Amino acid sequence: MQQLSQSLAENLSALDARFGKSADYYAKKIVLYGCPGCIVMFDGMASLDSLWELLLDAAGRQSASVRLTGTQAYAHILHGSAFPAESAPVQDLPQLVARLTAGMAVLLLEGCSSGIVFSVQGLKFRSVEEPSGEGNLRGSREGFTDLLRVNLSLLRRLVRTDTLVQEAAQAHTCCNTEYALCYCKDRADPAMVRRVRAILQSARPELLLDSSYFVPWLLPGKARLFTPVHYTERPAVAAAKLCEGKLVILVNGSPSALVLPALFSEQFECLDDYASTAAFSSFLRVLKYFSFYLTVFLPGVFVCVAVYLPELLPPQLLYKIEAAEKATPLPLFAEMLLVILILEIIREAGLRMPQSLGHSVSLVSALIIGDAAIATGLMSTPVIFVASITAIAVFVTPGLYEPATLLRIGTVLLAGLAGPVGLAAAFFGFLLSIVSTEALGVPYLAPHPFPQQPLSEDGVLRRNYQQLSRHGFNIWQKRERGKRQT
Amino acid sequence: MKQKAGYFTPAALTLSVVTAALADGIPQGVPVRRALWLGAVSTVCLCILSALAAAALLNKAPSFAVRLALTAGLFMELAHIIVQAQGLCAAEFSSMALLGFLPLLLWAGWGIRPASWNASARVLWWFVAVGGVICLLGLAGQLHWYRLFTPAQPTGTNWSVPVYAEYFAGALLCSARSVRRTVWLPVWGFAVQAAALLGGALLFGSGTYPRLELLRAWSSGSFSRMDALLLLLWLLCAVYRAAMLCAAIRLLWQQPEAEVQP
Repeated sequence: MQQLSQSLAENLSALDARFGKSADYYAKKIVLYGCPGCIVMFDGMASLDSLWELLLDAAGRQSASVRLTGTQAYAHILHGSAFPAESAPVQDLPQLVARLTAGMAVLLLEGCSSGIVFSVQGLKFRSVEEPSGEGNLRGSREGFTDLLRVNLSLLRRLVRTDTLVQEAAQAHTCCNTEYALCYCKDRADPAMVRRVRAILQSARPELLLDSSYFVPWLLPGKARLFTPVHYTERPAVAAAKLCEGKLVILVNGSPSALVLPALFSEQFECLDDYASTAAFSSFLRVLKYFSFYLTVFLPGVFVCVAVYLPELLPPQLLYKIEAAEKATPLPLFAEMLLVILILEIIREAGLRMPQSLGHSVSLVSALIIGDAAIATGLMSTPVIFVASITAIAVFVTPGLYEPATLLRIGTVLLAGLAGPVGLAAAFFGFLLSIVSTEALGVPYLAPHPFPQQPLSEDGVLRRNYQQLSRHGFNIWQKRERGKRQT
Repeated sequence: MKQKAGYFTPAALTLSVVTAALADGIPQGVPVRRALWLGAVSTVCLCILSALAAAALLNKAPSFAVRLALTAGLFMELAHIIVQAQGLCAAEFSSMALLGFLPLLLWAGWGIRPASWNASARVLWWFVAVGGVICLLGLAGQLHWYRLFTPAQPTGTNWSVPVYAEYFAGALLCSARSVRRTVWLPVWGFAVQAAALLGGALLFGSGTYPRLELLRAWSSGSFSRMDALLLLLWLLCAVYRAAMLCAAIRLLWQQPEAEVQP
């Protein structure tokens, strides 16, 4: 680790060697209290105006009649004056670089081997806006931004207790990206906090552009369909999760907070649930669960029933399906698979393409899927109807989009190839993958033994919020209860 | 000695027994009322035997002979349920796909820990409960008490009650806290069989119709053939039972063996 030298020229030449060619590197030689010094910072990240107001103006006026050595000037600015310098000076070059890249300005003095840091960040960042991916009718409209420090302040504003801990650290990546581990020390399990902290410190991602990059280190091992973590861009949701004892990981440059551990039922909850009546929110949750199972199983069940168990369908419906299928060249199973894949392609194109082209692509897609495919006799209306319903239903639970899509395709394949047995196998695949999932010892599917305690107080249905508030929820209770069950 | 954490819950064992009982049924060689009485007496006897077995095996390492006997019983049930499920697939769904899935099923049963099967059982119990309600709703209007008292009843003398290995393996397959509940497994088996027998008698009277006819009689509005759905539900439970029995056999052999005294 390269220590700072007492010679200003040596320090500046070391910095020049690193950043000299960078257009945003700013080094301005000054004289303070008769001692030569230099202000170093990155243009656009630190504000020169703020630095002038905080230090240079006042120090310039004071230093007209004073002559100090570097060490004396350092001691005077840091300890003998009211200049709002950071309490921890920088002693070595890596520390200096870390402060500069965090948007701070550093004052280096001749004859002093420490630099004085001033928090004069003037970073430009996306403002605090409502996140586009998490719609809510009630509650806070604030969303996380891309800047870690702003996100931490948003959390601090909501959790105004001394129990909230926000540990910031630098990840071992090629970009030295900063991240923060947040938790409430009176609610989170201390052993799990230590474990997660150690995992994050030992993680070696090549790049860290989002909190989800940590998932392979946090949940190592086998391939899984369901990932027992939750993502949110809302500080209010993150604050609520912190109060449930969960851990929140934020990464600089990303507005997406990773919450762990998470339960399956949480994918069906939102802030609005608690703002409306228990009956209505329970109704909505039942709808959401129904939509999820619809999106996973409806195409497979449709193929299985229509091909292998037609007696289950009412005759009129069966005649219509039969008539539609007679006009198409592909078997029902292949047709369903094709429509699902086409809808996925359209969704992916809609997500990635420039927004200005969105309407054109939507129009073309609607024409191809809605009209041309049926008119040419390539696909039948019932198949397109079923596939469209499932494609829409998946967006009711966006957090489960990935497993739902994979499971839907798997179910169609198995049900189409093996009929009822394939459908049963797909169901067991789904069931076993979901019950085997856990994070930090907390099972993804909460244990509610049937029929003694079939429903959670805040699960598929929820109780009155006053009743729920009587005994607070803590995620680590789930782990203990889960352990007792086994 | 209960040292390992992975045991089955009584709910998982009960689901397994209920699945088997749904397929086996009480032979209709004797009049229904007599069959129910005999069944009830047999169930009490089985409960006593189950309790004795639980008391003998609780908190003790099973001997090799006990393990071998229970393994043989579980293995026979495994073979039996696979044959029943394959027969159903071939007869009702015209499918031999179960044979293709069998290696995967056995592998999953052997490899997946009991906790996962316990959690799966919770979900399947919901399905069974909903299926039972649907079945009852579709048959409700066709069940009549007077058919129980028709004069022409079967007069055969053959009588047997199905006995499952789970009745006696509860102490080794469940945790020490929940062993007491496994003593009531025969009651569950009898309850299912009695319900099916009673349903058949209330629906058909004295005729000895195949049990599947009970499902085929199901009718409600424009849906007239829900038997395939209920059979599919049973198939799910049968697949579960087959895999769970594999896991149970593995669990039996994972337990430490009793030391043989010279």
